[in-house]
Amino acid sequence: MHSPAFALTTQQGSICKPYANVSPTGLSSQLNGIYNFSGAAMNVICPVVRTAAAPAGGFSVWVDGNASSGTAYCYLYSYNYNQQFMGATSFTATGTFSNLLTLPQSQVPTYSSQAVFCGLPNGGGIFDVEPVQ
Amino acid sequence: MVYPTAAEYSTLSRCNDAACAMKARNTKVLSWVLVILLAACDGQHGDASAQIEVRAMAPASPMPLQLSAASGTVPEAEMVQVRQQLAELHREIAELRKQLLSPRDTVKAADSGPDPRHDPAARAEADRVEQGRVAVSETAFRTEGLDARWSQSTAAAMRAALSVSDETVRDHVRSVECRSQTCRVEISADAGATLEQDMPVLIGRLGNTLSNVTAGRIDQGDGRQATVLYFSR
Repeated sequence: MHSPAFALTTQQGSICKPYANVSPTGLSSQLNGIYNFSGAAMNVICPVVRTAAAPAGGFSVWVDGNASSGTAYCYLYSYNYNQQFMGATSFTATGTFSNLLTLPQSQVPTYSSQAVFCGLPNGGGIFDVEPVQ
Repeated sequence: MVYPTAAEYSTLSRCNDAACAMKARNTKVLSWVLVILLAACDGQHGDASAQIEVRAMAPASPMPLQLSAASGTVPEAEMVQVRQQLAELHREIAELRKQLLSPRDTVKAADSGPDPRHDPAARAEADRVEQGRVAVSETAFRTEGLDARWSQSTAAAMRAALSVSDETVRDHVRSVECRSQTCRVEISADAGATLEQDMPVLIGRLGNTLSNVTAGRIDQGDGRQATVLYFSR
């Protein structure tokens, strides 16, 4: 959906799971992504594969998806090696979206881990999650 | 792993004179040198792709069939040739080792220093860096101009978002301050793991107006650490 200036580690949307203890009922893994057909809004979490140290300009992840029946919001979260929350950045979107989330390098230290958290309206989906690295 | 084939040794067995016998011995020695060197290379890179590379390179090596085809030279000359080919083999294997360094190893080398999870000195350094990062956020917040209108309305929205959090979190909010771009929320260590669990929901309630969050920990005065969240628009 965009012209990458760097290599992308594309992860298809079905890598995403329901957040916390939410029942996966209604969350549908499909060939073109993962969709919320539960009849209500649902939160999903998508692991981010970081293969290198964050560059000086920050660590970025594209999130592609759809929220045709409402508003979706997605956050890129970072936790350090000690499981401490470092920071997050977000966007909200309607319709088909392809948005970039960038955390500053200081929030993505060595041994930290990142995840994308999205709230999807009913019918909304995540096509893919693409870390830029 | 690649070993000299029966066909290669049958080629050697067709020589009958003394020079050919000497050559056969040299060639056999060289073959096993190759085997040993390749084994060393294989052992260092046990993954499947490395093994495929080694197998692909082995037939291209100029041994041992080429040696047997060049019979008729004196043994000393052959030994020179063997030494040259050994040197060439060393060079090829060094090159192979470079090629076989996996991307994972490359990334690890680039991404790692002393590991703060296991090295106390590295942990102390990571803590120092972390304190510096939080100090930068705190200084930026304290020097930010004050927009009274935005500050009041955003602080009210922040308190409203916190009020519907889990009681373990909302009962331990120590302060909420907003200026012109950023709100600072301090939450006591008593909120514990519930804060981590509640974080996406809490942050999600504010995402429309405050899309960036920086988190840090500060001493709360009783030997424990409070969480400080800087929400900015």
